[in-house]
Amino acid sequence: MDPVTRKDTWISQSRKNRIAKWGLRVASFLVFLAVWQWYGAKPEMFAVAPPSQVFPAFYEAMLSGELPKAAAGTLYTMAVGYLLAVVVGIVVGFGIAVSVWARNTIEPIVNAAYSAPMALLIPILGVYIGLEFQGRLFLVMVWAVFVIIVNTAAGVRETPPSLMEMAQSFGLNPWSIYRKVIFPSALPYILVGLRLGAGRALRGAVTAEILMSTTNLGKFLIDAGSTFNMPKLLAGIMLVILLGLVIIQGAEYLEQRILSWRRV
Amino acid sequence: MSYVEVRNISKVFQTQQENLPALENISFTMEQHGFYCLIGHSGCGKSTLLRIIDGLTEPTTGEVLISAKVTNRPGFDRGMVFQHFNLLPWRAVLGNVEFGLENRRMSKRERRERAMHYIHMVGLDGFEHYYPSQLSGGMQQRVGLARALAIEPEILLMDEPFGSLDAQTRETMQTELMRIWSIEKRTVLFVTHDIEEAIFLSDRVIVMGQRPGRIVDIIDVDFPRPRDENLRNLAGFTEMRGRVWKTLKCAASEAKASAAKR
Amino acid sequence: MSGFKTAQQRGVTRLEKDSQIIQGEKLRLRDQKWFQRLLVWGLLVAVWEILGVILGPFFLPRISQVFLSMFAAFTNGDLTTLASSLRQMFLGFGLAAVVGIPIGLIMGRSRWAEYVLGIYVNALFVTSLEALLPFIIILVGTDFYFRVVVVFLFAIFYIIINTAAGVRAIDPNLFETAAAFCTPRLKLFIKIILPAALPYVIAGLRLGLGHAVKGMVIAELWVVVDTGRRLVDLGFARKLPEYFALALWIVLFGALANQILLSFQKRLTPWGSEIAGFTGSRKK
Ligand SMILES: Nc1ncnc2c1ncn2[C@@H]1O[C@H](COP(=O)(O)OP(=O)(O)OP(=O)(O)O)[C@@H](O)[C@H]1O
Ligand SMILES: [Mg+2]
Repeated sequence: MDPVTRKDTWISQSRKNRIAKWGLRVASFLVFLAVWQWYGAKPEMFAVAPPSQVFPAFYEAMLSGELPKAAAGTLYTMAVGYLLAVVVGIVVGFGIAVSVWARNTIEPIVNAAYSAPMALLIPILGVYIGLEFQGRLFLVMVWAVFVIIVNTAAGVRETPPSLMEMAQSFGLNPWSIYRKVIFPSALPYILVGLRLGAGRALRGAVTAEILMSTTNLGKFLIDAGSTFNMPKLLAGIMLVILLGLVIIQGAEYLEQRILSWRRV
Repeated sequence: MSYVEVRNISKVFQTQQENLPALENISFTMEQHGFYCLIGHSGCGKSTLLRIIDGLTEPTTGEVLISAKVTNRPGFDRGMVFQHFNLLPWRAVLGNVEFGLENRRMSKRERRERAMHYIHMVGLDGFEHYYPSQLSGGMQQRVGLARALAIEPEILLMDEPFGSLDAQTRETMQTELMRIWSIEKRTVLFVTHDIEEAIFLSDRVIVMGQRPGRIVDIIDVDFPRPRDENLRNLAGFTEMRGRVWKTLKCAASEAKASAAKR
Repeated sequence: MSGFKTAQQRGVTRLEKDSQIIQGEKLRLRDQKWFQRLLVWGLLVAVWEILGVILGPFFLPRISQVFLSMFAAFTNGDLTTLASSLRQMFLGFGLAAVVGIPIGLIMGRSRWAEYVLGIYVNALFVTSLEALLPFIIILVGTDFYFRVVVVFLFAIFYIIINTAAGVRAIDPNLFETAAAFCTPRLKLFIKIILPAALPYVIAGLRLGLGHAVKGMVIAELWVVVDTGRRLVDLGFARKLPEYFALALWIVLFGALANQILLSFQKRLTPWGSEIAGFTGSRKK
């Protein structure tokens, strides 16, 4: 067989595969919807509203502005808290990676906090910060900051010493070494931390609104739940899932754009 | 007074298990615009010596003098071609070659022109916007060469710069290096494993033995320049190759004997 | 210019020093890890204690009081409450392991399973599961099952995703070898795939366990039962020493369980190195 046709068949093979993949995904999603509809439409199944009710409820809540307004409030808390977490996380991450003292003393604390249930703060946050916007902001920050710290520190530490040595050989001062070698080299790790942090920030915001001060999306969900308005509740959950997906996908897209040198 | 003087350099590496003497009592001098080759078995401390001269590592004892001044830190007067290239993976060829120039006072355009000039010189035209991961090992090595040449240093320290080239490209690059060197006079210290390459290129071959790394022989090469491929067929060339080969072999067996004694 | 050079020089020596530390040269006292920890952590404890004295127990309990309360927790019933919470947590976690590992194995082995299930697993992996609380509570009520379900959901996706990653990381040569020796399908799973993926599976279990504890705390805080109720009460009454003590116990139990799994991993898979696990970072 000559190479050209071989390549052709290879391409069509992979295209076939792609079609199969997406076909299966779509089909499985349709089956999922159908089962959900069948299950939810059964009269004794009160808790699970069928999609035929959830989607209109979603549409209505979007149109009336109730859901967008709630989501905007949540996203605002999340964004501000996340920005704080980014700044703190990158600075502390660099510090831990660079200073032997910080590595030996602060890093174990960071690691412990990273795996500890941050929700333990909720019942006493009122004592220190209050349960309103500032409290939620703080919760978003602690939810997101540790994953950023840990990844930043790992990235800085992974910088090949040979590259730093090369930079020294070419007469770079320490500041330039940070800017031109260590930072770009750590960037892939930092971006992973930022992406995971974004997901966690959203979780933190939603958790704070459900468990601490009932507002925004949290209020939307709790209100719908306590009035047993199942279509509305599921519509709200649907939006939260969508928001999470959009944030993660967006972050992934940005990551690939920024690290275009890695794709080649 | 010689241009570069390496005086009684020793280097001991401290590892968990032992103190490893990598270099012992290394002394030699280099005249301005001379071409020197450093040859020796793998692990005899050639890279370490180069890093000490570049100022990246401090010697345990001894010092390096350039123009009679003690140097212990990197400077713009020396350019290093690294054995393992050490290219920045997130910069394309052009960015990597410009890297060394960014700390100098020069306009962006000037920098670009200088970089393009040396990219052309190492034969990488058309690859300016390729990332290192898209280049072959030999091409990456040439980027490293262009990067060092671009800062136009007085002294070029080259750590096996042709190590991963095929025989043909290697010969072309040797001729090319000779040409560059004859136009833009530099003092070159060139590390290699290849005896023929060492003799072909240099004014003087410094032969190193191992464990600990030390100088076992210094051989003057006074074939007339410009040299060409025919040199390799001369009787004198073959004879010299034999001499270097024997010295290296002796040094190796000595090292083995002393290791056995320990 | 000279200032620049000294800075540069400092950079050189710093890198040198680092590499010498790695080389295990004899360290000065102030470079010793235990000394630094003793100093900094001791200082933190001291500052906490002093601040506690200044601010008073209604704002910041002294750390010595917190420690005393941690001992008191043995007798005042707090640890018993915590134990009953942990029991339910382990039930949810165990269910997540029993369900998650097979799903992960299949998803890692079969491309079709990955196409069908992958999107749901990943979507829920990145979702704020906390948003599901008002739904779950209507679905299963506030009792026992509520907490089990929440813990289950918090843990299972980490287990699935890491198990699948472990199966995908298996050297294809192993499958060829197995095929060459005509290994039947079920044996392939038991003898090749499970052991080969085991380090990842345990890494997933460890991550899952950490999140199970988080799920437990959130669930109990929300429906206000057991440990969660105790925490809410203590926080409301501002009995901060007891509060901090109980919170520390929860963190300690989480860490302890993690350590136990880690030692399991070392014992069960002595050939494999420690695997950090997949928390969402993509392997290239
Ligand atoms: N940072 C270090 N720590 C400990 N030992 C080292 C270090 N760098 C080099 N060595 C040791 O010093 C010796 C010389 O190493 P060097 O890299 O200089 O050899 P080389 O002559 O360049 O070898 P090659 O031809 O293979 O490149 C080796 O035995 C090596 O193990
Ligand atoms: Mg070397």
